[in-house]
Amino acid sequence: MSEPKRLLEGGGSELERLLLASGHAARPSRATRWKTEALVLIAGLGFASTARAVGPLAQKTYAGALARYLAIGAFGGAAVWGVAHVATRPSANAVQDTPAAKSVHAMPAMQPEAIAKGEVEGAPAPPAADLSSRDSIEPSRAESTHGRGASRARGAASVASRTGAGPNDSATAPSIGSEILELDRARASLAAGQARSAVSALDRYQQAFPKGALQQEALRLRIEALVGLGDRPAARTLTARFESLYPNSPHAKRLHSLVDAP
Amino acid sequence: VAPNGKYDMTSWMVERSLLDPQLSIPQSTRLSGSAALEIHRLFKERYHGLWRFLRSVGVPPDSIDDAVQQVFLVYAERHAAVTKGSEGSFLFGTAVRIAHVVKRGHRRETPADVELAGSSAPSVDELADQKRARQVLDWMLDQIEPDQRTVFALYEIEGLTLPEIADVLQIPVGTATSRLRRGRERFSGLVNRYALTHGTNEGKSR
Repeated sequence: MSEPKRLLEGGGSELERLLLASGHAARPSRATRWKTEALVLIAGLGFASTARAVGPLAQKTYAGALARYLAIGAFGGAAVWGVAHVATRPSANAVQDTPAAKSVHAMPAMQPEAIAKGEVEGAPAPPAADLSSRDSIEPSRAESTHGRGASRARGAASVASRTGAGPNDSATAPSIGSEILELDRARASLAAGQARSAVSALDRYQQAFPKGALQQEALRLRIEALVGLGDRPAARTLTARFESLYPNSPHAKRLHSLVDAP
Repeated sequence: VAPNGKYDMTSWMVERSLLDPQLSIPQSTRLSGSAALEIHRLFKERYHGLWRFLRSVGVPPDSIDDAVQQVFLVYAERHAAVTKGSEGSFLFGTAVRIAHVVKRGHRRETPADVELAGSSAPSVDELADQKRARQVLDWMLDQIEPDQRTVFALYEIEGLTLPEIADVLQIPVGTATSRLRRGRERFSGLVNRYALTHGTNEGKSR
């Protein structure tokens, strides 16, 4: 059966093509994609880390993909932050200001939906310092910087892995890759049934990335850790906060169910 | 059961994941490394298209990211049941159903700076600005009946074939063809009317 010629491919009028082309060209910002990709990847990583029988080859392949991702994340975050820091405003230093670790009940205010909101052109820059910096430069410039430094990024990641860079190192070169790494420590602790250790990892995350892009994931893990510790009142409080901060999150219902479970 | 008589597994999956708060990924069925890698590959291939599609079918801008994330979470939960080679259909089919759920209670707001029905709407010349053109396109898509709009977006913006769309929506190809025809008629009518009222002879050219 022959299909009608698509409007964009000459089947429509000039105005129809113009309108549809604008729809076809719609794309989320790099920060939005970065964040969503990280959340999807971190989910995959979490599931993989608790699987009982992961084949060695699959582990190696997946580790390779993650390493590439972290390398790109580490370099991209550092490069973009650096460019924005030099070229724009001193307030970008906010990323470097690592306040003392906060207790569960005194977590710093987070910047929730603003990161996810308005990522189509013209939207205001999200408040997270690293993300706003990323948005504040032109995409073409960012891509070109990214492309030129890909090999250097791999090298940097390799050096970082050899020297065992920790959370504090991450704080000086903020990147979503470093955030993932820190959250994965918390996730691994949770999977091993070590809720207290998970809380410690989350405290370190909060200290290193007070305005990190993965606050939603961090809060979710903290709630799970509190449930693991048996501190349901605190878990309920944080779940209420989670729901108010991320009302559209696909995790909200599950968290509710988790804290309310007998 | 879908209209074509097939068991609508995708609907079942989405309904369960969205409506059943107890649903979570059991430890025993969590992803292997290769499955996680596969999801990442699919993400890289399909993310942009899914994001654009969810936008085209009217998911509010502040819910699109969560909706895309939800699509991949559903895939992660159900990947074992997805036939090899039909991952795209599964993802788009999931996106259709998630969009339906998300849109309940939401209504896309016409951007404040574009009053399309009034004289302040951008002229056709101003539509060279893609952002303005997109606002007009969004308004027009909002005027198309949802079923037709979904088929229209999948065919005209995402470039799926009619059999692929039929597979995504679990409907006969004839139904998909009919919805596309009516969607195109509606869209062309809106474009012609807009052209006539906003400064071009475009509407008379076809």
